[in-house]
Amino acid sequence: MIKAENLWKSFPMRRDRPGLKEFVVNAPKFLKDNGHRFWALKGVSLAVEKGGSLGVIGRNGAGKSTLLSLLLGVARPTTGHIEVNGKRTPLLELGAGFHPDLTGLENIVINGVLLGYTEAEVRDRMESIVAFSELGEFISMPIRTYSSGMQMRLAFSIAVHTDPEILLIDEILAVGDESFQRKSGQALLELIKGGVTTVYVSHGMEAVKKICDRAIWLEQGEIRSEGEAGLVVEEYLKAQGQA
Amino acid sequence: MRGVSEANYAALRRKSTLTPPLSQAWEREKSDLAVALRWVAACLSEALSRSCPAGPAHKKLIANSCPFRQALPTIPTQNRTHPFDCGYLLAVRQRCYPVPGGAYVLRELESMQISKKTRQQLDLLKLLVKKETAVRYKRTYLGFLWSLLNPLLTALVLFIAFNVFMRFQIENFALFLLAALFPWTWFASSVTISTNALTGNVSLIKKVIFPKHFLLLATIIAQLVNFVFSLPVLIVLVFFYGGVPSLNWLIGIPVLIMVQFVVIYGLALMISVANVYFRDLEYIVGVLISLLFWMTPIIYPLEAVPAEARVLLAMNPVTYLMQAWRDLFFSNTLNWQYILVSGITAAVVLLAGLLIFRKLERKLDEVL
Repeated sequence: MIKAENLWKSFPMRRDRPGLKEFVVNAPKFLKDNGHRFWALKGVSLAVEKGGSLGVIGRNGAGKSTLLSLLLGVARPTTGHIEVNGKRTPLLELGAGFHPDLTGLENIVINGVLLGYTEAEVRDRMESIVAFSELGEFISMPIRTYSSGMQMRLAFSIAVHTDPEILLIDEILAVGDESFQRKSGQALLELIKGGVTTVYVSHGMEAVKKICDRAIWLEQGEIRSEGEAGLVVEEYLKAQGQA
Repeated sequence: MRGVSEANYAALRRKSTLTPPLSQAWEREKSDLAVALRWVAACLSEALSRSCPAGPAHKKLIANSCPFRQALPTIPTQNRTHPFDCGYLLAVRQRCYPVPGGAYVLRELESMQISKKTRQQLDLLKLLVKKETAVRYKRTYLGFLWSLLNPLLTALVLFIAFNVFMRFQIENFALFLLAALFPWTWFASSVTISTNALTGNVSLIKKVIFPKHFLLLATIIAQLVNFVFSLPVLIVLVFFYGGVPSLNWLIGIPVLIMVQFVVIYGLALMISVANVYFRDLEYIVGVLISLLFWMTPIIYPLEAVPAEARVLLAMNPVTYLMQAWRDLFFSNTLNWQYILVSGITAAVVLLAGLLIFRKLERKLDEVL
């Protein structure tokens, strides 16, 4: 279950970062909010019930990714309140935390533990993760020898094997080659339809219609429209066509 | 999976949850403490069973004294790989626990949930440390051996330098120097590396939820491992100069390691998070560390400092710490006065570090 009320999020907007000298001289000024802030989200509220899936659409810079990082908990809202029940699994940037010099197997363990598992639990799932990734003997080679597609495949395999309760997805369905794309899309769809609460950020309107039952349309940090996924997508596409 | 096959286990699970007496047993055993103790005991015996060097007869004896022996009958003998694997190993792995009544409570326990969280955190820390050390030596031929080789070679270089080329008035100068230099290396490298611990892991911090201070702890522990590997070198050197092992070491080494850990952690907390806001710090820290090196009695004795400069030395958080290390190895004494002073300094530094880190960490995502 995800519930967010009146989220505001701003980032400091400076042409360049202050040097130490400038900071020392103007320390009080910098510690205070100096007013030049960019508001990425302006009063967004949303709710996703358990098992529901919400699509988030909008143009670049509309605040979609910011919203997702707030829901994930790696960033705090400037004001507003978020309530999330359940284990959050991010599918934001696949392979965050991979180390190029470690082997695929070693990276699976580290990544799995980072996603909230104990080492023993990861090792229990090791076989199916490796099988899903279809990496074969590459799995015991350092990650730096992988192609970027192979890295993505590994990362995706780990993420879908962590029994997620809440999935936060940022435009990643395009993983690997044609056949793996189909397979990963299928696995994801199974998870989502199988009762995992999902927030899905995408530019792929077809995917949003297929995956989500509800959707919100963000524009410049505000909700422009929300409701049944198909309707919101139609509305969005219509507006884009005019522009 | 050892002991019980997947299918047997499933059958067991069905059977045991249906058996009525089980719920009574469950009520009896419900107290969290009992559960925790049982779990610890099971873990211990699992560890024991993995490393048991005893012969079969001996093993059988231990197996018979196993507190969960009553749980045995439910598991077919032919499925046991060795006498210890009487099912509770499996039970532990499956996060449930055996009951003396002869069945298993196959249920997630609330108290286990807490310990699972803690275990996950411990695993994470362990893996980060492992990564830190593994990555360092990954592409070398000698690998982890460098951890021992490094201090050994340093010692050799200094030994040659001060026994052949330069001769100081201080006796056993190589030992005098190394007794403070090894701890200093731990300090300096930890602080330097952790300056970039946050700025160097942006993708992790922005995309994964985990305790950020683990990055610092992992750095410090990885360096501590290196330091621990330098201790044997130091001890050999003490022997070489005619010293004897003493009880002081047994107390002194852990205490001093703890104090130094706290100082380093406190400083790392401040510096790492401040470096996110002012990246110039990275370079300033480098210079400050080398200044601090000369402000610390490492290559000179504390007594050599003129009285008017003592105030400056007192401002240095590691002055007395390094002196205490040297007293321990060089003159084989526990200087409680210095240890106390460094302990208090460490506590203050840690407190300041925690406050700063907690304050600045909140807005980390906006500036990284």
